[in-house]
Amino acid sequence: MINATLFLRLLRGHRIRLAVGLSVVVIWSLLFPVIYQAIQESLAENPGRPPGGNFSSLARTISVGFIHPISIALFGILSAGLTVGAISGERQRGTLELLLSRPLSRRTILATMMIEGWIGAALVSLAYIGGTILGAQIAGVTDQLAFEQLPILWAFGALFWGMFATIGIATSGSFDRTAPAMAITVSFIMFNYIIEVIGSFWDVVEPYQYLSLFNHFSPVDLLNGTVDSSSALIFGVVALIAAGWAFYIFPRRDLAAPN
Amino acid sequence: MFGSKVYYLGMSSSFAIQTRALTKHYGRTGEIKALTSLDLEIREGELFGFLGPNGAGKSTAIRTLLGFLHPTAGSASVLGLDIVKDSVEIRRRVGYLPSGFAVYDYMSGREYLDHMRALSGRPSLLRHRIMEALELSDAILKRPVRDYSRGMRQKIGVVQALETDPELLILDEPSEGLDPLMQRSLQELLLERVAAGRTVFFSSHLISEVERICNRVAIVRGGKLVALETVETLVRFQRRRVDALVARKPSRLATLAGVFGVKVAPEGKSGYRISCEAEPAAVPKLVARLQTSDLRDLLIEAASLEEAFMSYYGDARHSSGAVQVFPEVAEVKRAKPKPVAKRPVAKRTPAKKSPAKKSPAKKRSSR
Repeated sequence: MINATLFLRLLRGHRIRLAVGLSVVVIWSLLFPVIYQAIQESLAENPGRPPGGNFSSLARTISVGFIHPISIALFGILSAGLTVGAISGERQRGTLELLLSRPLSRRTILATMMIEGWIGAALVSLAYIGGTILGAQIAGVTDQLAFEQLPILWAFGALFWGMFATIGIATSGSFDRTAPAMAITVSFIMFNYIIEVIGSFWDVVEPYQYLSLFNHFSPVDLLNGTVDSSSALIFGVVALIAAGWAFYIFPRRDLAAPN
Repeated sequence: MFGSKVYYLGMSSSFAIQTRALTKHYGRTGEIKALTSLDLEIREGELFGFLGPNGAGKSTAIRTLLGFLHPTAGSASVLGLDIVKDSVEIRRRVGYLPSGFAVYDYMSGREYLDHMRALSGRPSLLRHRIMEALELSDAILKRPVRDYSRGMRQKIGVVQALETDPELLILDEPSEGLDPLMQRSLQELLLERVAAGRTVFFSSHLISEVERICNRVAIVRGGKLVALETVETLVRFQRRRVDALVARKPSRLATLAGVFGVKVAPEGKSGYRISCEAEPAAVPKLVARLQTSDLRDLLIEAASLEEAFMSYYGDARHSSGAVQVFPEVAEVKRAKPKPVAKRPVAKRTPAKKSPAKKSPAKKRSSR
């Protein structure tokens, strides 16, 4: 179903982005246990100060890092960012023609590119958790880290961002240019994120928060072991719909000569 | 000349490419007719040229054959395989070079070729031979593709298309960006492949190239096939250009059937210069008529494939309906140089008397 030669070439083409991006994610994520420890020390020195809200526990602090806008940007670049330009970018550069002239079905090309996006999502989720463990060790708070919950956090993170990677490949296979594919994918992610954020402080929007995919991704619940497994189902269904669209539309498209 | 279409009872595997009423229209209502009812048969082992200006439908036909475009109507087979059902298998056995060939800039030439070969799933059999012919060294292949000139990239494109020795080569403007020496090397490579039993189907803007190496040629206009003949046949039936020097002004030349564009101009004291075009069948009568006017010099130029090509496009500007207007062809027509003999003079009669002053015709013949 996927082509190993093409897959390795895709990884090679994105190797610098992956290496730099994953390094940044590790550094970014190790900051949160350190920040948590600093806040806890500050609270201990000033007992009169109110507890730290989102920084009141390590699980909450890690959760803040997971859905911080900078994390969203990093996770997006390393998952959906890999797929959104996969087909449309090759088409725009004119390299898709030669790829299609080889004995590869369009579905094979699509599946290979989609898998790369999922690999990116899995790696970025792993990098975040790796950075968190490293940060917890630096801050000396490993005893507060629920190690047994980390695999499920990784799996949900990979599924969540793999879903956006699938949306990226669906838009990529639908357009001849990267710009519209990118615009739709980024708008979709932003729309979901904004609904979640605005809903958290604006009563009018709050009833609609459940419409946001971010609303169903709760790292703190995952770390506390109180997650609702229906969230995984939602992410899976959305990813399946996007994949279904991609596998329907791309093989049926007419690929006229590039301008 | 091209009036008789061949209708087939079924697709035959002895043809490398066979299309039957192959049609590709774009747009919601099919208003853009890129290709209309194309009937082609290209035999195995043939070197086939596909001519037409930009927008004529060449690339559409090629892309439909390779499965990049889905036909609106009609059917086609490549190497006996259906272009819709067996597209992947077709591409396993075909070498393809697209027009405006693009590469992955972050790779070296060698990495790119190795990658494309690996994707084809076939061994590289001819890389060294092609590299030698196109003067591509190992040192060049080690450099990143982004540093290559356009011609160098085109050479890489040629190598990737030919190196696995595919049964059929489909090349869209293969000479694009190559200098004349490399164009000649490429032509020799293609002739080699044909001699080895392979089939070559290529489109080109370089009519001289097609004329030099192709067995047969198809000309498309406005998405329709307007000619499908051997090069010889296409040329043979073209009008000849006739240039004559006569002592006396001839009468009623323009009334001769098959004679066109007669121009008569005084040529000093030596007589009259006659220039016109004539259909091959009308030439004997024309010469006979000229001889009655004391013919002193005669130059009959054979047509070239370019003229045959232009004859199919000459009326494009005045056509209506589905036939499109091709500004680039009009441009070519405007810029067309004065006729020069591209082929051996078909017939020449010696001057009866040496003219006192060297005439233009004499000058031309002395070159």
